Amino acid sequence: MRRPEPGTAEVTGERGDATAGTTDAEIIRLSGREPERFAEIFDRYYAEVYGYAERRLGPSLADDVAAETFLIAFDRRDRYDAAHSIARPWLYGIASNLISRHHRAETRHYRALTRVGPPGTVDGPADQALGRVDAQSNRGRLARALAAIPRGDRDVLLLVAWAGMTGEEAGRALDIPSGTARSRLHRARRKIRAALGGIDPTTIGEDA
Amino acid sequence: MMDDLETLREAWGEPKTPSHTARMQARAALMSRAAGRPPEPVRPRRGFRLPRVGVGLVAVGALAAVVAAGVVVVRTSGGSRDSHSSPPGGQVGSVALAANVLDRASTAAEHRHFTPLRSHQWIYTKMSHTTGTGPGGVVTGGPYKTKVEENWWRADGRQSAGITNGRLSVGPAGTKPQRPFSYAPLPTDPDALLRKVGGRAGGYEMAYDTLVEILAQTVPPPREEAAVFQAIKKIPRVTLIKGRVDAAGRPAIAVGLETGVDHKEVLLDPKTYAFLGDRVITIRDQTLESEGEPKTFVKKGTLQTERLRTAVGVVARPGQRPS
Repeated sequence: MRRPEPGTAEVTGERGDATAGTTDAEIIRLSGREPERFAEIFDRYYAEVYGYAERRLGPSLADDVAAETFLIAFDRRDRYDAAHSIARPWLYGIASNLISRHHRAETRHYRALTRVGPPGTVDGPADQALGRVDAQSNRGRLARALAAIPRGDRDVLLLVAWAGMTGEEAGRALDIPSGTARSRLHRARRKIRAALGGIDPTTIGEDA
Repeated sequence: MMDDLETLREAWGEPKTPSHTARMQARAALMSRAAGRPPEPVRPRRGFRLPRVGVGLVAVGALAAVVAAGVVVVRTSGGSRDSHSSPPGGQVGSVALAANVLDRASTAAEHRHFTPLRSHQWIYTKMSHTTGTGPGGVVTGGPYKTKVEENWWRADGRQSAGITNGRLSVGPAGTKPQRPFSYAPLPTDPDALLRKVGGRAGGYEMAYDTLVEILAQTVPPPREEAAVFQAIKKIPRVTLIKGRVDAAGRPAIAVGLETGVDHKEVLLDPKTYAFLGDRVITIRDQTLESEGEPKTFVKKGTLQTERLRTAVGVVARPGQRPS
């Protein structure tokens, strides 16, 4: 089967009613009979799913995870719950499951980002005297904390922090009850705050 | 007031954008699945890893041939990146020296010859990306690999194209410009520009990355490009590398942001201050320690990643190269 050539007359008619106002749920429903419609879901979400996977796994695994996410989503499209007009949490849920298969690589990835090591190993005393441990170096501390947070808790935390979801959406994405999602988020955030030293992070590193 | 979630978000900066090749492969795999192969039950595969070419192999018909090409992979061996280049790490100079260079870059940008782009024109770039060959994360030394990619972005940032398997493949047109085109038009006031890209305590690295992407991918008008250099100057801890560095045989000025143990550098032509590329160099010896893993030592001067822009120009259509 050929991909329709954009710009041909017959396709223009099809596209006229599509893209703009159509909900994800509607596209997924239509893709039951017209499978190629699913490309619209890909075009809407591929870049951000890749961006999310890249942060958790680094670039080369992210290519695979992002590609596989849409193949799996396509295969499961007949089971999509049409009550949810936006497919985003569903796709992130699939991506999260794929990412969890690579948890060792994920942990390695965060450890590699632990670029600001324990005091003394990297930031010398002089650096600290100069107040060089500023908000940017939070990443090292946060990466170390992320590597230590249990997988299930980390899934919820990062869907909220990096994918901008609410706790409820994260629960739906991961197919867990919203109460469970909230308590996981709470636990993970406690560790993140502890990693940030329990200080108001906005004051870290400011010249004052 | 920034809470822990916001700190977590900002500490990672801008999400990365997928390469054009990866996007086209993934889309082709999906379209071929959609083109008639019956939906397969999803097999949970433990430790699955799609082989790089595997995505292309499931494709059929005209789309079957989508595998990475137009991509040259060069493997170098040993500890250095390239046998004929000197070690990349230079001596980090002061903020004042960086400010000086950025002022001159800003002035040069303001006086650059410029023809306004029309939205239907395309920006062509050819970039060579050098990274470690390891599993990702920190690079402790060679070998490195280099990929060369040609890309076209429509001037309004709504569509991109690349070379896949020796053939041009043009992506779908989006409704909104992609980053970093989405920041256009750039404020010509450096403070306003810095605010627009998120520059503030906790967000400076992200802002810096965005400004570098603007230089790398877009062709801003002179006053806007001048503001980009002035905005970089306003970011704390932007320092100059003393002397000239080597950008694939061309001498370059390296100026950039210190982030913990790394220096994220923009490489500029010493005469015209045109963008030549960017790279990340470890500038302090570091030892990575984590429970249950052997210690990893990263020597000062180690190249982490490098991207050199070897060609750039404005053309009428994707697939065209500037003459």
